Amino acid sequence: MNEKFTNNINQEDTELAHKLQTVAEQTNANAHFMAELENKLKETHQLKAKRFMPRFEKITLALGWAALVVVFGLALSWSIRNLIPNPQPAANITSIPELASPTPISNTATIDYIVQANDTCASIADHFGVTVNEVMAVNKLTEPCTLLLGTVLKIPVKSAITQPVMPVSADGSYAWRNTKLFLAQPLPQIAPDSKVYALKPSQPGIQDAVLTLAQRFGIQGAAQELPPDFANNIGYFVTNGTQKLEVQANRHFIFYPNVTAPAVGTVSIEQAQTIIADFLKKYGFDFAYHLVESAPGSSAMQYTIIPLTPDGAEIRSDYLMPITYEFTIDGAGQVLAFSGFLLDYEALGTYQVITAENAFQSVLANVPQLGRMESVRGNGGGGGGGPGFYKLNLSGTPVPFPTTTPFPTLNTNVSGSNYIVQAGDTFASIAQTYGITVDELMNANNTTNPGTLMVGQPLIIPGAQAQNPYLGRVFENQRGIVMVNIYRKSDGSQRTEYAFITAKDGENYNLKLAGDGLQELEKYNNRPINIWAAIESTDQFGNMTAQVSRFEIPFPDLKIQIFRGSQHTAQINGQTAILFTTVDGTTYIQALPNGDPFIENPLVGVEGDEVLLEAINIPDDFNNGYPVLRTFGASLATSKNGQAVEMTVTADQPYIIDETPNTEVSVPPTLTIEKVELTYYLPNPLYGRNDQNADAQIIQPVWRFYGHYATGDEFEILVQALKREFLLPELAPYEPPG
Amino acid sequence: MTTLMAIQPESPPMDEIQLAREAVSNTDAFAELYRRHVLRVFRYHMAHTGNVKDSEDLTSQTFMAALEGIKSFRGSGSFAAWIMGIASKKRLMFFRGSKPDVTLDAALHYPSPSLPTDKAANQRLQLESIARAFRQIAPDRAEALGLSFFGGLSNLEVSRVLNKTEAAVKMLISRGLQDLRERTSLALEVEL
Repeated sequence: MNEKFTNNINQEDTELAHKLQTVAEQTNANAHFMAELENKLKETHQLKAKRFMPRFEKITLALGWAALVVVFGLALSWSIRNLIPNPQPAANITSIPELASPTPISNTATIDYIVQANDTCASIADHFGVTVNEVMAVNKLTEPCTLLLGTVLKIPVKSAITQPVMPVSADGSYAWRNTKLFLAQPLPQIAPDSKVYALKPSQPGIQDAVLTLAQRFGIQGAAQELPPDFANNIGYFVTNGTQKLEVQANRHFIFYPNVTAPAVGTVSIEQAQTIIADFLKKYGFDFAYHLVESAPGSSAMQYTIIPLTPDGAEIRSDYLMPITYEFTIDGAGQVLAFSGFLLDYEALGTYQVITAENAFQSVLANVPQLGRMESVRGNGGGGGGGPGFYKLNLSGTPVPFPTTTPFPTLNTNVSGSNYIVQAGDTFASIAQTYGITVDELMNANNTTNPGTLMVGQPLIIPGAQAQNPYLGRVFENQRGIVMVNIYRKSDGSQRTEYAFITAKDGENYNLKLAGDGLQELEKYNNRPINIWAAIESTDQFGNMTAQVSRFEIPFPDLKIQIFRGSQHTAQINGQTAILFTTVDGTTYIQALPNGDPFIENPLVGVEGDEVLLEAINIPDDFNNGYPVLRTFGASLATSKNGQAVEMTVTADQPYIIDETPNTEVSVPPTLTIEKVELTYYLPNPLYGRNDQNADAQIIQPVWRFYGHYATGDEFEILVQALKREFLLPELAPYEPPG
Repeated sequence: MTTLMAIQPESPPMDEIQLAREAVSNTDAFAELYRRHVLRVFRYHMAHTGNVKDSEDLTSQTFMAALEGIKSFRGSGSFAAWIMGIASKKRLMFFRGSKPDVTLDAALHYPSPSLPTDKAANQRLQLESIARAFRQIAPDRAEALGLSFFGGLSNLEVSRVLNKTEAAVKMLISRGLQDLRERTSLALEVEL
């Protein structure tokens, strides 16, 4: 990290600064939290990208400029682009062979979806995890599958209960998330019921708990307060000078049998097995358990056991990880510490559960649905999640479930709307975008008050079929800059594209040019041209092509140059612009290549620093009286270590893009499920004491599917196992642990 | 190599501007930006709140807001400064007690930390001390220190976030360190 305070002469301040920096560098976020948040962001991003398509054309145009400049200055950016697969044209997607089995559609539940701009049959099918054929069949569409903006499509929902389990390949695999899932063993056949346990009610307070437990461990003494934790909860400890027991407010306890013992050496796992058994027996603990061979992240002296329920199953909790107890054992065989959560529960009763096969159907269902949670663990970190479990309904009468699978975050059913209001939208701006009048727009939405627009509000755009408002726009003698992109294939062939960037009537355009004789433009990359053209087509990403009938090169000898000077901000007509004064005293207004003066933060270094600009000054190009410098690159004239920076003109050469086929085609690894078992789940022992959330008290049966991806990452998924009559059709409250 | 926007030697890699542009429509690009910057955001919030839960909430809120606003990132200045500007606003709103304006189901399924080791516990205590000390000194100085040391921003980037000159930022940091030393017990509490 860089020095923040080189001017600072105070040694103590410097030391403190280093301490702060060290603490900062040692601060890491929980890997699972980061993975969860990333998944959530991706999910939200994808939903947004879909809904907000109508705005994209404008955004792309606006951002085009920023990006353009970068592209010219920087080959590096293309390496990033290569990392990110470009969206495939829709035609390619639809040609993917159908993976899924011929699920009977006729009696399948459906949900409604409003077709958005740029949706394709394939993109919608993909989004909902169904096939194009299924979408077409349910909506009685015929080949080719084409959609109109605003159409209400029925999307078949594969219910966990009705979807048949059906191997799709000769190799015995199941189609699953664009890859294959193998079952290493047949699904187990088990008794159709399971116990349900409940944490014992009215557990004693922490202070009583510590005394009760201290008695068990044979420690005499008073309960004393531990320092408060971050949430200001108080825990207690009891000690007699040799033994010590701590119970934190969240009921996590640690027992130190001998606080004075030196901690040296380790024992073998076989020795540990005996030591742990003797220890538990000595203090009267009587439960079955597994010894974990090596728990991740534990030291050589730490041994982890997983306690089992009376019927011999593990209890899994957050991250789907089992609830455990930890032992620290030294080389002399002494237990130095024994810790875990106080968990006191009893059987509530026996309830019917779904079969392993039904649970497996839920695993195979692509549609996100309640009743399952999953986790992925590997070198790349953790991830997973899922909507979560249904609320429990153990004592009440059965509640009917809706025919569709409830999935609270996917609310696309906005009746008849085909536009979502964005920040900054007005009725006038939307009407203009779609080429309709404000009255038409307001009538269609049953409103007379222009102040009623709210961000996120769905709107009906009358007659807004996927017509792009830019289509047909005409340019006559329009000045702009031509950009020449040469695309090279690995076989040596190449093609050249000509793009034209300009601003007209307050809008920015980035047009692909089509027409005869354009190759003459090849030697004028980033130089001004005048064109006569009309926008004749647009693709699904909003990229527009203009047919050129005529063009002129007004300044054939004009060159891009390096300008040396300094920058100053100035207010011009109420807007902030950057003025650039060269060393010989000429003052220019700095602009993007399309001629827009910079309005945001384009300063290099600090105002007044000597700066180099790679730019072009077109002789008849003025803005508010200043000659315009259309700028492609910039740098400080002196680098940080005091050396003069050399800058050369590169923007006059065509931009060459290597179209090497991406060899790293992402194929999802196959998954093999090695273990299927009926086990238990408890929401979060930390919150077990919270009486407001009844489900947090229940240890319920779940089907656990555990296995590995071909990459070695661990995968597991828990499927809520209680039959539907013991569940409510809503999401169980989940309190994130602190 | 000449580049337009972020040429300052201290600036982050240029590809971020291209990434940010891609991130408007490309989920993977947004995720990449997230992965690059999540730690600085989290650390900054840890330094000011001193607790994991609030920091995770605020980190979620910061990136949710960034997702909303990514299209307004114009590729000028550094992305780090932009995201930290959001983090800063989110934190101020958090302490004003206003309700989060994004749904926080992002904070759903992550579990409790396992038994903290002594080191991790010590680390948390130190962060708590820092958060407390930050509240005892002038807010703009604490803000500059948080952005600089925990957000990992250069002075130039801090100056962008705070809308001050670079020289003023240097002064804020220097005075802030002095305040921490003279007016709080932080120097004694943070032992490494």
